Amino acid sequence: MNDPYKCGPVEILLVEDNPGDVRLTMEALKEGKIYHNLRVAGDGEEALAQLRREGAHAERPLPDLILLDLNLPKKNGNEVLQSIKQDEALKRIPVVILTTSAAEQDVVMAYDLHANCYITKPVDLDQFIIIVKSIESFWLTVVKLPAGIQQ
Amino acid sequence: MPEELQKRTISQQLSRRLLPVSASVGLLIALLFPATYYWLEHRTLRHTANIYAQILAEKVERLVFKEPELWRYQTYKYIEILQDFKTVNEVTEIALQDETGKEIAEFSKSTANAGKWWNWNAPAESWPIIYNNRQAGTVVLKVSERVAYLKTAAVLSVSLTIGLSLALLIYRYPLRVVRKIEGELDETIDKLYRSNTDLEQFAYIASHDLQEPLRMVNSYVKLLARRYQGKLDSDADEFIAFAVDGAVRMQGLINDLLTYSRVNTRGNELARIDSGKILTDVIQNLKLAIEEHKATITYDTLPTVSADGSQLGQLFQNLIGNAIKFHGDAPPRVHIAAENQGDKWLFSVRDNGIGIPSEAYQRVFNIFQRLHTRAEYPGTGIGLAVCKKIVERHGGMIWLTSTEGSGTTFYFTLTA
Repeated sequence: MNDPYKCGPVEILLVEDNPGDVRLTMEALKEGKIYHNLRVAGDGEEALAQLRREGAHAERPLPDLILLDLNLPKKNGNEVLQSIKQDEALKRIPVVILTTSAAEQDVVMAYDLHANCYITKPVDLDQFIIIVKSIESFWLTVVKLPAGIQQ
Repeated sequence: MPEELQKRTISQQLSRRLLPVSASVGLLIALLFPATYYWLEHRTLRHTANIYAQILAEKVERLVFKEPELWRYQTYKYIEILQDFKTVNEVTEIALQDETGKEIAEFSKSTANAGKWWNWNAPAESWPIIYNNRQAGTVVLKVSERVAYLKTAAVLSVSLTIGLSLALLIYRYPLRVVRKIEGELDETIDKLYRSNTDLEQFAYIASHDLQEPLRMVNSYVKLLARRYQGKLDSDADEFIAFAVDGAVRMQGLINDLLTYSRVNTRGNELARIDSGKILTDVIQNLKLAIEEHKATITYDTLPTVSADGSQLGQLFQNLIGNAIKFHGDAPPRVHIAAENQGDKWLFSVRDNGIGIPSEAYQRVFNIFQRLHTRAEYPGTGIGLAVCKKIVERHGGMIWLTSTEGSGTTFYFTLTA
């Protein structure tokens, strides 16, 4: 979307360990209108491996948007966020923190680590769907991002 | 909380109070006994001196009787009489005076006693010599207090020892007992505190961690409803509806449990707060409910109190919210007042609602305690439990009086 010459699906990386939440996010995205390709990483290390295109992920394009949970096995969300934002090749990719925690210290910590936005997962399904749709539309259509993230 | 608990204060206070008591009792015993003893000795000595003087005077009287004119010149005769008393230990000086008080003769047992400090208060007793109903002379007899002082010193040393040990006993024994009790008390307080913290921690973690799976149940049941409502049979629709309802209610309970456990774990420091300002904010928050039920809220001038502002707000909101919610046939009228009680303020929230039966006065403050079915009045029954916890966290008390059918008044106290 950000690249006018690119016509493939929008790449979204969802870092989430709970399969229930993964499926819910998929369902919510399905209700959105944007043609996308969702990839899932079940833990922090796998997320970084995918982003750095290590091993089997070598041929994968970089995502246009990262949805990151905070409470993750192996490497937690904050560590993943920090690694992304310190990596020259990855730091421009918008990272949306999508978590159940509403704790003030989590919010502050995430923004300190340069998260692009912080969203507490609503408990209610309808709310959740609305929020996922609005994330999608805001970050993938409203916002103007620098071209060439994929390089 | 444990660091706020002033441990060992009872023994400290006791020690402060015991010190003067034990010191005065010890001193009293150490000094009163010797003083009394000396006084008795002194009196006995005076009595002895008096009797000796009397006996002497009688003997001289007989002499005078024989030789009314010449007796005073018969030196050898009265010297003989006086000599007899030189053998009596206590007597140190004997003097014979004529009717004018002029000294005729004087005997001093030894010069060793003269002017010595132990004789400063030495009794000197005199007895008149009577002849023909006239005083012919006087016998003056002095006794030494040396022995009396020695004996008093002995008594003093014993009573000092007794007094001092008694003072120590009076001071230390109650302290030892109290310290032991305090030790047990501290242990109990620690245990209680730990179990209370554990419980709060448990409630918090349970409700926090229960959110996650519940969100799953809730979301997928709703997703089912969203996708398949009307596409399956009517039974399925009903089952789904019940599942959704259950999940939503459980969500409510868990949220309430979280709110309840957060009163102590997430509270702010107490500060000086204008409760009137808090109340007007709360009334603003309740605007919708107030308009919907045509409620009238009135209040007196409210004081500044020491409180956690957001919790005080929650307290007012729950009480006023209840007052509006449990209204009778008439539109709800709620009045908030505060009355000064020395270092405390007694707040009251009075309504004209349906009232609470007297057997439930205590019960209504229990967590998840409800007096009505959900169909009559919705809610989980957490409101008053939270109120109670908030008031208790502020070191106050909460209670109510009520007349069924005509209204309830909730009272709570806060520190000024």
